[in-house]
Amino acid sequence: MLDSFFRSARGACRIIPWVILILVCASARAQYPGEKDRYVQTVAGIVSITKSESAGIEGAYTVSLGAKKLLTTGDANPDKAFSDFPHIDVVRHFKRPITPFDEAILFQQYSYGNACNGSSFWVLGLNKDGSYRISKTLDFCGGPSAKVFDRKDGFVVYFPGGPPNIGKGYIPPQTWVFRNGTFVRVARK
Amino acid sequence: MGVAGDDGVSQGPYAGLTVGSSQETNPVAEQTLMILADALANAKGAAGPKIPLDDFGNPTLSGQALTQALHGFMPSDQRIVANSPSGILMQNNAPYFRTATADDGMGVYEPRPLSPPGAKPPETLGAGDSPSTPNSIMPDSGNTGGKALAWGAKVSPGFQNKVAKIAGDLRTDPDYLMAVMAFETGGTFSPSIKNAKGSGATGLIQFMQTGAKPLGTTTDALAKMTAEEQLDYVARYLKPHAGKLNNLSDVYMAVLYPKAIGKPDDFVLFDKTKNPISYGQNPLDLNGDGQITKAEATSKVNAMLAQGRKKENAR
Repeated sequence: MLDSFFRSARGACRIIPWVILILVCASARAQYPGEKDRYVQTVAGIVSITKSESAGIEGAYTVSLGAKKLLTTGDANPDKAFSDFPHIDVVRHFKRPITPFDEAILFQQYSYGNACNGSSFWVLGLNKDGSYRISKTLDFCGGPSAKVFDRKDGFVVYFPGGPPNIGKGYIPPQTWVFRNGTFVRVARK
Repeated sequence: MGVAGDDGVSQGPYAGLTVGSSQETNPVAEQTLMILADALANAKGAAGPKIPLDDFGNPTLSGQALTQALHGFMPSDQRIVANSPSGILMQNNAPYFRTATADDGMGVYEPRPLSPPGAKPPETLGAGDSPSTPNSIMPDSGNTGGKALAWGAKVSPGFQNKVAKIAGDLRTDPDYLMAVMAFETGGTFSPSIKNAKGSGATGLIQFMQTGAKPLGTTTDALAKMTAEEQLDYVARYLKPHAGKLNNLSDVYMAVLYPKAIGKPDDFVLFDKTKNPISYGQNPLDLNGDGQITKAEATSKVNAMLAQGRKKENAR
């Protein structure tokens, strides 16, 4: 009888982790489907974008370099970055020097809502010694999609401009150069 | 133990209650559930648990507790989907509840209109009714619980039916879905209509490419679908928000700016100082205070709802 009890207890111990796993997965079902974790091999190590288990209407995402968490987005916590546009897109991975970095990744935030056709841009600069820097955010809300052009030691982000998504008016185009680790707006002549 | 036999006559704890049949879906209003609870609690010969009533005969339970209590009347593999804010089924005094056996998200439901003993059949029966289903409530076209659907005159009966089902699954009012789709498509309900300003937004809820991708499609593919086919993607897009779309502005926020779902009307979506580009891209600042609130963003959709409910547009 005691033996039977222990057999049952062992069986329960084997089942409980699976039950917990199922419950955790079920709790995440309220989020949008389809976003898989992504990984980018860089000179500084592997940059990963992982979906957090934390709730929030559109979920939360963490960008890490190796084991170090660099930035977490998502509306579960309004203090987190990009709480309203939590999804992260890797626009370009520049596998060449982007002054002052050995490599850089251009990210763009977005939401599944249609208020903006893509939102803010930001850059993760990376060096061979494992050091990194996150740029200031470049505010954007399309409209027509932004375009990215290469430059010798950097790159250009161009916002086409045009009428707003809703109603009347005109949003002028903007040109931004990523120079010395920061976005600089090019004045229109 | 089934809710109803194939002949439409209830069995088990429902003995004595006449149950109609329908292949269509309907949302269940909280008020409707209370009528159902009342009917079940007072049904002669009914076995099983009782719904506690107050001195006025109203259930003393509400919300989830009421739903759970009602589950006590039902087979274990079926459950009630509740909390549509519309209350539209009240108009026909014909409580509905839906049963589901597996996938609660967007699965197949079998709605069963149910009337208390001795209840009069509804005064107006639609074209879909037949003498063999005396208590089923069918509108003239489509099935939206007997109530004319906002903007229903602009879409096919199949479209109407599908919207009613989606609204039921999301526990929201089908009129809200119609008003938002009317706004997003400029009243055309075209699945291929593109945002003329260059954002690439497409179709019934102006899907962005970034919104289409996780649904396993693209805006180009969506544009080639029929309106009825594209509704499946509307449903999938809105599915994560099921149960949270309690008013028109929340339905619209699911499409425009999901973070604002459930937030108060004065919640600021875009601030001219903090988000100048987002603010400029969505010029909805009605009072010119430099902030676009949830209420301001929804104002035009509100107007579309009112317009869609006019006699010439509703069906």
